[in-house]
This record gives sequence, C-alpha cells and structure tokens, in this order.
Amino acid sequence: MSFLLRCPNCGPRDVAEFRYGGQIVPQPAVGSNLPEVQHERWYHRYGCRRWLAARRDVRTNEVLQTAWLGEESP
Amino acid sequence: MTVPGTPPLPPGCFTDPARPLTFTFEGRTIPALEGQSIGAALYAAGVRIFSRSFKYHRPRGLFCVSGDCPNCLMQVDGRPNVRTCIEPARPGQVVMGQNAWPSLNFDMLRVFDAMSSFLPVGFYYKRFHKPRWLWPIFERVVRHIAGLGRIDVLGRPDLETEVEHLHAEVCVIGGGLTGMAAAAAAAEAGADVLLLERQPRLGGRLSEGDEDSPYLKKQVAALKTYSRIRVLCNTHGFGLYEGNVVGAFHERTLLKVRAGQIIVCTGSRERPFVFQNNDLPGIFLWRGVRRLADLYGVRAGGRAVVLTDNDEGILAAVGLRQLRIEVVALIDCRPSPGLRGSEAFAQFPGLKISRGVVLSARGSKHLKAVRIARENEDGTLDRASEQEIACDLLCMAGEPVPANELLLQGGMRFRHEGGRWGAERRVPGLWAAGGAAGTCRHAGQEGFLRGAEAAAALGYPSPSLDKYRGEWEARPALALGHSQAALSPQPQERDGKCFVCFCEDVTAKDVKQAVAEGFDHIETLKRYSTIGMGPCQGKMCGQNFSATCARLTGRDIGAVGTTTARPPAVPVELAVLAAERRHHPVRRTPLHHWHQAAGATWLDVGQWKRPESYGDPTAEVRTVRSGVGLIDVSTLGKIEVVGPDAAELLERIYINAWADLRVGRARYGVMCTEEGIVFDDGVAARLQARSASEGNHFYLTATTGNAEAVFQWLELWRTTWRLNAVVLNRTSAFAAMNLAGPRSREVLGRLTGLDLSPAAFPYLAAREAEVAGVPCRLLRIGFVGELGYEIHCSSTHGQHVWESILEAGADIGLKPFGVEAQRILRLEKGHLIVGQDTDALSSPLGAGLERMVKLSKPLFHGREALLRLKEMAPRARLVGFHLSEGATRRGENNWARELEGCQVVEQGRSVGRVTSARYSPTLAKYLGLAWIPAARATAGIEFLIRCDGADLTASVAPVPFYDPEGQRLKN
Repeated sequence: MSFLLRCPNCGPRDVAEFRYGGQIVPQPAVGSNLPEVQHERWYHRYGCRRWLAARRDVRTNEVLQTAWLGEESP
Repeated sequence: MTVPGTPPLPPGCFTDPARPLTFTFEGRTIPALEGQSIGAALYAAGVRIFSRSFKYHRPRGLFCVSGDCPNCLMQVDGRPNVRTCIEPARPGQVVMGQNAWPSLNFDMLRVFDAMSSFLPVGFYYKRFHKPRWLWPIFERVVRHIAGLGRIDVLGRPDLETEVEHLHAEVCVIGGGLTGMAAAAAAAEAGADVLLLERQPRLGGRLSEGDEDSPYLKKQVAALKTYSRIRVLCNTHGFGLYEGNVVGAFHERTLLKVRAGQIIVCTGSRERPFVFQNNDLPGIFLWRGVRRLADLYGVRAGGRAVVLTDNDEGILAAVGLRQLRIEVVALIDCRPSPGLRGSEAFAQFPGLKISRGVVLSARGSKHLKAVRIARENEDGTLDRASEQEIACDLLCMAGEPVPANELLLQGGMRFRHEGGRWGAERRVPGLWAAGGAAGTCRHAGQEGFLRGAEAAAALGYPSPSLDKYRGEWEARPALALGHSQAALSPQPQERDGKCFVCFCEDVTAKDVKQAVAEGFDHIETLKRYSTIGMGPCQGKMCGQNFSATCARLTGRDIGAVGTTTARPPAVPVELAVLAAERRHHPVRRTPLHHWHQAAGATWLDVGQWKRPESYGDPTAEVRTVRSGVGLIDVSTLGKIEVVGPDAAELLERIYINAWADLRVGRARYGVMCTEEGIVFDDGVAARLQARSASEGNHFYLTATTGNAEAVFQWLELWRTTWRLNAVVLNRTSAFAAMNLAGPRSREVLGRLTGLDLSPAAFPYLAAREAEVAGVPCRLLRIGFVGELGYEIHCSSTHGQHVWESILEAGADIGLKPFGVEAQRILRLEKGHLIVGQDTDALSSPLGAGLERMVKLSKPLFHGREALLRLKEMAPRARLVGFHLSEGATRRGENNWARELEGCQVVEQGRSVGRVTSARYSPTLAKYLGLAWIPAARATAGIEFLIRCDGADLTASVAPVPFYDPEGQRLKN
C-alpha cells in the first residue's frame, strides 16, 4: 500500500504514517469486508496522533473523504 | 576469437583505460579496466561459458549485455545471481560460477540434458509422486540440485543498506534519447524533474555506436541548463506502486520516489529467435554485441551471421563491419521484399542478403556453425536449400519489443496492432514514450510531447506544447510491422530443443505439449510450464511466449495478450528491500546507565532494555522475600486521563468497575477487546483532588509492550464517544521503581515525611508526596506479593530517587533486583502477564479473572462477547501447577524455563500449553501456569507436559502458591 490519506490537520500523507483502526460499523457487528467504499478509522501515528474517519474504496484504495473521528458528516 | 591481425577496439565509453585492475574468476586472475563489467572483462580474457542453464545445465554465454537475460549470473564476493554483464569489475573481487558441478566448463549435471524425456513440461506435477516412500530420497537430491546460486546462510556483516524517500513533480524513468527529451520538456515548462537512468551515464542507445555522438553531447548539455532536473545514474527502477510511487535502487540504497507524474522511457529490447539450440555461447542479441564493444571495448567474435526480421538487420550488418567483424551472412526471415525494400538498404546497396530461416545452431560449448534454409511461399521449408555456414557469432536482430514492465505494473494497457504493441494512454499520472510505448522512430519527439503534457497536467502550461504536438502528429507514418506469421517463431518442434524460455529451459515442444494438455490460456500456461517465472521474468521470452501461444491456439497475439506484470521488474536484493527494517530503535530507562555500571545483564522487552538480573536472580528473590529490594519499572506505560468524563471512559474501557473508586485509591484493572479477549492489565489510581481536576484525574499504568496501544485505544474511544476528557501518554516522562519486601516501609520512611502507617497509607492507596526531596506519586501495590510501594517521579530525577533509596536501605541489605527475579516472585503469587500467559484467544473467564468481569455495567468493551462466552463456559482454563517430585531431578534449577511453550498432552495429543514455569526458591518447588482443558482444571488432577520428547507429570495446584491470603501485602 502506498496511497495518500489526507489528515485534517497535517494534509496529504503517506499511508505508512497511519495505523488502520478497523471499519466503522454499528456496535457490536463485525466489519463487512466487501469490495466497496468502506467507512474506516485511521490513526495518524507518525503525525498529529489523532484518530480520523475515512471513506475509502477498498478496490482502488482511493480515499474519497476524511474527517476527524466523531465529527464526520454521516 | 579475434581474427589475427585485427586491430583492437577502442576502449569502451564506460571504461577508464588509465585505471586497470584485476579480479579473480574461479582462481584465475583476470585483468579489467575500471568501469568495465565483469562479464566484458571475462569475455576479453577468453571465458565463453558464463553459466549453466537451470534444468539441463546447458552451457550459456553472454547474450544481452544489458542485465535483462539470465545468461551471465554468477556468484560475486559471495553474493549469488549477480548479473555480471553489467556489474562493474572492482579490484580484488572473487567471482565464481554457479549451478554447475564440478565447474562451469565441465558440468556433470549436463546429464539432465540427455534425460530430458523424463523431465517433460510440468514434470514436478507428474514425477516423484509414486511410490511415496521414494520421495524423501528424491527430495534430498532435488533440493541439492535445485536453485541457482548459493546463499551464505551465516550472513555477511556488510549488508549496509539504506532507504531514501524522494519527491518529484515529474519522475522520468530511463535516460536515453526519449527520457532526456521528456525531462527537458517538463523542466522547460517549470516542473521539478527526477531522471532515473540505470547505466552509469545518460544516453541510452546513443552511447552505443559513436562515443562522441554530437547529438548526445548536445542533449546532455541541454539538460544541464535546467537546474530543475536532478539526474540519478546507476539507478534501477523496479516497481510502480499505487499513489504514483516508484520503487528504485541506487547501489545499495532503496529509493521510494513519490511523483506527481511518471514518464516511463525504458526503451525496447530485441526479441530472440527460436530455433534448435538457440541458447549457445556465441549467440548474441545484436544490441548485446554493440554494447559489449561500445561500452566495454570488447569484440564478440570474428565471423558473424546476422539473423533479422526487421530493418535493423541492415544496421547490424553495417555496425559489425565498423567493429571489424566479418559478416558472412545476413539472413532476413521475412517474405520478399523484406530488407531489400527498406530505406536503409538503399544506403548500403553492397550488402548481400539471404532470405530464409535459421534451423539450428551447431556446437557443444561454443557456436561453430548455423544451418539455414529458405522458406517456400506457403511457409514450408525448401529442404533443398539447406546449408551450413561456419561462424563464431550469431547476431539476432529481432523486432524490438517494448520494455514495458513498469508501465504494465502501473496499469497501462497495450494493444497489438499492425504487428506491433502500442501503449493506450489511459492511466492518470502515468505516461509512456519512445520504445517503451512501442514507438520505433521519432521517439525524441514523443519524449518532448509527453514531458510537456505531464507538466501541463501538473498545471505548468508549456509554451512549446503545441509545437511538440504538431511535430509528433506530423511524423511520417510508420511502415507496418510484421504480420503475425512472420513474428511468430516457426520452430521445427521435432528437431530437438528450441528454447522459448531461457531461464527455465522451456522449449517450443514443451509449450505445444502443455497446450495439448489443456493449458491454453497464457496465465495457466505460464504456471504449468514455468515460462517467464525465472530470473528474467519474461524479458527475453515474453513476446515469443505470446506468439507461440497465439499460433498454437489459432488466436491473434493481441487476443492472447501478455502475462500480468508484477514488481520487481529487475532483480533487487532482499537486503535492499529490507533497508527500512535494519534499524531497530532502542529505548533506555532513565536508570539505564546506573544498571550498566552495576553490571546488569540485559533483557530486550519490546524496544526497551531491562536489567534481567544483577548476577544471581535466586538471591534477589530471597532478598525481596526476607528483606527489601528495588526494581526499575520505568518501562510501564503511564497514561493520565483527566476531565469530567474521565471515570466514565475508564468504566467503559476496563471490564471492572471504576466509578466507585475513591480519591487516593488505586485498583487493578483488565481491558478486553470487543471480542472479549484480554487486551491489557494494569493499575490505575484516582489522584488527589486539585481545583482544576476536582478528583477527575486518573493515573494509569499499562503493560510495558502495550503502552502505545493502550493510549491509542483510550484515545479512539474517547473520540468516538465524544467524552470530555484528555488522554496523555506520559510513559517517557516518568521514572518508576518498585520498593518491595517486608522492610520496605522502614526504608521509605527514612526519605519521606508521609505517614506510612498501615492506617494512613493502606494497601491499594495512592499518595502524592516528596521522596528524597522529589515530588512523587506513590502507589501501595504488590505485584511481587510483599509489602511494596511503586514510586513514580519525573524522569530527570529518577536516578537521584533511585540512588537515595538504595543508600537509605544499604544498612538493612536493600539490593536492586531484575526482571528475572520479578518473574519468579510474581509466579509464586500466580499473577499472570498479559501477552505471556494470555494470547489472542484468552478471555478473562478462562484466565482466572472471572471476578473482574462486571457484567452489571451497562456498557464496556467486550461486554457483548463476554455475555456469550459466559453462556458457553470456557473450554480451557489457565491453572497453576507443580511438577511432581520424580520429574524435578534434572540438575540445575534454571532448566524449568525451557518448559515455557511446551505442550500439555493427553494420550499423545496436544490439549494445552505451558505459559510460565520457574523454580521457586521460596517454596523449593517447580511452579508454573498452563492452559489445560477446563474439565481437568481442578486442584490435584495430574496432567502430562511434553518436554524434549519426554513426558513430565504435573498436578494442578491452587494459586497463589505463596501467601494465599495476601497477609504479607496488606500488613
């Protein structure tokens, strides 16, 4: 993986700076893991150290939208 | 093979004649010039056999002289599979052949050539299966023979590799005519350009032919006028990855280039011809002969036959004459008019051209002659025309095929039209130009255009874009490429071995058989026949493979397509790829240097260095049990949670209750994942109220290896639940030490004014007070099972506090103790260590932590899963055990550690495992913790542990083993 994620604080950064935090799904369901646009948590480990939410197409790794976790529009 | 009287060639343009050197090859001393490749120097010294083929151990010589083919792989200074045709010679190098026994020149394993009918295509799916008892014998032989070079498994100390991250607006791969044009056009428009070239200098094919090419000089000079262009030579691009990242390496440095736009200008390479014995020393690609002479100053032979299917054949014949190599025949395998109709022929009318095909090459260790024949109009052979031509060099000048591996990796598609592959430009941010795009002529114009277009895509309008586009579109139409029939090899399959894939020794006959067996899709055919799976990864065979498959299945080459291209496009050493993993950060506690001076032996715990002991762990255990000891626990994760919702956050994260924890009290807590698996444990304290925090200030400790994960976990859920609290990771900010033992109160009392009486500072209380003049947080807890105080202070004062405590207790025998003693002490108490005694399947219900689970809480992590797990009841439990008397007489007490990880067996089947085991000096017994079936988890039941092939008897024992009532903790 070498795509870019846009951190709301730090701007576009290499995905290697982030830790993946799983799919955002209603608790306590498990992730759908389907080839579609997924709603995910990411943690900017080597940056501002904050959690964000991203909409990513897992087929192409295109990140369509990012926002702070808990503040994203539904 | 030089014909006597022929003057030597001028030194190659990569070499420095003023700097001769020598290296050794199989014990022989070989002279070379600096810059000359090992392969060229060996060729000049008369070496003709460079390697032995993978399966049949055929002798092989230099072939492509560009690093693309597998023919020259050798062992250089212990490194296997070095492409010696391009690897520069260095003084004192030790070069050895590989995949041959006893030597390259005389290889006994050549016997496989005669046995080829027993090794048909896909033989590893067919042979050695029956009878089954024979396989172990075959396996030893096969494993010995298989593979090419030998890896030095003991490792070499010189694996110095680095990684560099580069950023460029435009990255141009390939510094030939096209690449230089693309770089210049992009820079002219205002973009920053990174130009990667695999050879030691720019120029690509312009370096060949005429050393002082005025055009090349002009181009290189033009590039130098742009400060925006950074040129990296000796740099090999091996992969294109998502996000427009180029993987490349420069010597032993891994380069990760993130580029806005990528322009691939990697040129083309010639297609080899397929005929009997077509991979024999003396048979070269024409451009290989050219490179050997022009770059390294070595002549490939004296009497040459040129075999061609395109107009480059003329240039080859003319070029050979320039090199003073006699051209005894120029064979054009196209139907009439072929070369005679070409523009080039008009310029060199004196050339004699024979029409026909090469049937076979003769020679056992080197080419002696080729047999040729004419083809009739209907494609059959005119047997009457067969003749043999003596020669020592065969130059194959086949139709150039795009060197497009990187483009295909990047998602670019190629269509086959008019006998040629052409790029379909559809991938955003990726451009193809020149030979790599399938452009044979006017590659420079295409380079300029793509460079300007790439810059325009970045928002740099190029003033010359329209001019470049006009020039490109006005280029003269190219004559059609060859029809599919001419492009397909027409090997005479019955006439022995016509190699399609040189790396894996796959012949045209093998491909035909594989297709007949039903593998008619190019991808399945590849996997079954192993074509294209060798070191060259299809660079030599790709086109012939597609063409052969097309002919055998009656389809068009375009419909057959090519196999999927994946990185790496060129061989990369694993050490280079692992460059980023070579550095391991080491964390040291604030007391590290004190431990070092005290002679501690070190234990690696995650990134941390911890003192394992200061000499005798058993004595350290006794000191703690009978007097008082001090251990550095600075590696514990230390996290502060402050705010109105702090208690709520803890309540939801830990499985036990927190809301009722009073100020000044501490509590042991366990966290679970959503799946109800133990994630971490530790102690948290509610610190004294200050005006700002109003008692909403918690101080958490986490397991050493889990500090960061616990912090991220708290931060994730604080954010998700929008709780009003702040989470801070203070792990490195605090030093921490544990003063433990019956006399610890006495020692601490000498350093603090705090009332330490059991009533004022009871078990599980938390206080803030000065110790040795330093503000500290004190927690009265007892991991090791004695009266004890965990003392946290700022890291800067850690050593002062540590030394002050040791000094205060010196007269009553206070000694430091290490992790090993601590592990024995905690095991005597039956305390588990998360990650050692638990794993990714351990729920608190089986791990003896049932009392911690507070299912009455409405919401906490793991609650749903734990409710379900509770209904099911655990299948396995973590229990304490003693080793039975008979099993314990094995000499040294220390051996018990070996039990950790051993299986618990029942009737020979594994039913559990030992997670901790030690000899307890306090109880004079072997103790441990083990996961065993829940049905057997009753005190007194015996079970077997398999260790070193012997079964030891153990019996389940209640925990804690030591001080079950906990009196010593609480007094």
